Amino acid sequence: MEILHLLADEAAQVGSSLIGSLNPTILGLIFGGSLLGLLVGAIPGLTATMALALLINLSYGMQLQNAVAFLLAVYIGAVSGGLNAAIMINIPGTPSAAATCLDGFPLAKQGKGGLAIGTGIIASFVGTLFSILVMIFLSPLIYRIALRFGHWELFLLALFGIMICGTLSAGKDPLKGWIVGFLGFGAAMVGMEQIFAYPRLTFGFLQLKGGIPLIPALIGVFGVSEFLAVLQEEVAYKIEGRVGKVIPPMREFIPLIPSAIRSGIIGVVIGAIPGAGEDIGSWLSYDVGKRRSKKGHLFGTGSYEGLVCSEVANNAVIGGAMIPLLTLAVPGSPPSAMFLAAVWLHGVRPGPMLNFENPGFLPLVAAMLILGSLAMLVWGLTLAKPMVAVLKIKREILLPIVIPLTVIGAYAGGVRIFDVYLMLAFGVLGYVLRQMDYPLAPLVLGLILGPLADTSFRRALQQSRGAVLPLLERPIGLILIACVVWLIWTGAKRTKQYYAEKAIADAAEDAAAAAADLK
Amino acid sequence: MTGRVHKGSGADYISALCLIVFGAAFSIAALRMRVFNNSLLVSPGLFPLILGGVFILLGLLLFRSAALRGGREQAFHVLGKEHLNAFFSSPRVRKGTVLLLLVVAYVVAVGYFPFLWATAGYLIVTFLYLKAMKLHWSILLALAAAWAITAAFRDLFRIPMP
Repeated sequence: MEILHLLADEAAQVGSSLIGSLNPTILGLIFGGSLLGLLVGAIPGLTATMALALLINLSYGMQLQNAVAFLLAVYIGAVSGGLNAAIMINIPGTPSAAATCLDGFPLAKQGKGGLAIGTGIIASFVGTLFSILVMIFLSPLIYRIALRFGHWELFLLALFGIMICGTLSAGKDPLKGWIVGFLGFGAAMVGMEQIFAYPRLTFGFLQLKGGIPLIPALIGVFGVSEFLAVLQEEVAYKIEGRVGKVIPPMREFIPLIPSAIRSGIIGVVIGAIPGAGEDIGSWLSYDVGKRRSKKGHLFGTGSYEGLVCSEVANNAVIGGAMIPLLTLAVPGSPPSAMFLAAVWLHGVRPGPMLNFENPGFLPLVAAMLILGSLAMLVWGLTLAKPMVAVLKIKREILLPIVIPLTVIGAYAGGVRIFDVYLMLAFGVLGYVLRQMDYPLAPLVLGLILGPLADTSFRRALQQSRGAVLPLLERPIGLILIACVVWLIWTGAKRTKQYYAEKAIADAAEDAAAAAADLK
Repeated sequence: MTGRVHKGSGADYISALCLIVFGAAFSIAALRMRVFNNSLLVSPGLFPLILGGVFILLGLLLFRSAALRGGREQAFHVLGKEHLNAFFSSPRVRKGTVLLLLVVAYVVAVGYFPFLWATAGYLIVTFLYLKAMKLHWSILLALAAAWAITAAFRDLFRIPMP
């Protein structure tokens, strides 16, 4: 009963937040942000994280409510915008739309590009809305659990966060994901620590005493490195077929409802896992959909169901990613890490205490997500044809303009040129890691969770006077330890298997080359 | 070994060695972080010390797997003169390096010149290098973009500019 009251109260707060947001300024920011997000998302190679990295600087001077509205609209727009390029040129605008290529492009080749875009946009809208509902009803319950977290549990949560993020984002080689996650922890050790204000690893730089600023680091890792990686590749593409009719008939959607619900659930769950991101949600949902659907054999040949599986899931990750972000201060995806950095700048500290310190923040986020998804729906359906025209602009013209925007973004937060140099250093680091097949999401998550892990670990030890055994008796902690051990066990097995397969493939390649030489 | 370069093992071998050295350096730095003669338990160096150990452990794991895949031989081959020459003369690497150098030059320039002119200069050179447009269009678009960015951020959104 108490829970029902809590949920009803939450829904009422979201409703009043929604009504309160219906003013020209916020609506203008939402529609503007959504359009900018869609544009960045439509450009092949540029991710939703990049969109937020480029546009975060615009939010510095805004009031909190306006900044939240703008950034969330950009986020939703960018995740959804990736489908235009995926469908029309078979290159995903964002990695989250990669699975969309499989059915979207065949549809475009059949002359149904417009209908595919329309279906994808409506699926994206449904996915976002579904995840917002889950977020509204699940977050208060997680807050209740999170309030029971002590220092030990918070440390284990941070550890679990980077371990699972490393495992999921590194694909077959979790070891690399873990290495990058711990490197993020290492980078977070720079600056004055939170218990004694003792400066660590500052190397005499006064500017590093406050630690590595999150926004320049994020812009470097996702913005600069992406710019270099994308422009380095020569990708030739041509737009396939005509766009044609965009809005699909409603009766087409009725058989797709079960797939949409399943994909929504998968998206929310993947979103709630720290650092997993939209692309993983989309692929997993597509794979499950293909195996579960009665028409699974049509997936990959231009199936609307396949398209819906991918697009509902990648957008459902948005609301899912907000759940751990708002309740535990652990971002569920790289773009949500960007959003976290932005709201920190506005003095809001998400986490278990958020409901006490900023009681209206969660309803505000939910209301802005609803409005943002509506704006995306309107733009996505009305601007489908002009959006395809954007794909005709050469990347060599658009991408260089990205760099001045990243410089402004890095500089404007702290008004220090040092932050721009730091952004560049992280950009180079991100680029090198990318080239060596290391995932970048764990690095960022490590940077965010590092101070929490460090402080919580030492405070927990202080409380238990150095004894580890009392800490092991705490039930939530035990569950988290079991999860971490399981991740290490399965990850180590996967890594071993991957390297064994690689060694066999290398040996086969050598043998084939030797045979060719003999001939 | 046939002298063929397989993607990964040589790079893994080298990065594992770097990680081990980094972990050792991190641990040494952590041991110097004690304050107020407090016990190690609450010392600011405790967590970095553990992290240093974790880096060494992960580095050893990567090193072992890379070595089993012939990483040592691959690393020597990759760092050999012939391979390095081929690597740096590949168009992809050259393009990435030039673009990176242009970004570095721009970031340095922003510290010394007005943002508008540094941006316009950077955009002109980058457009020309990427052969995005003809010279006059490159200059026109670069100036227009630099002016638009400066005006929008400084005057419209009142964002502090470098």
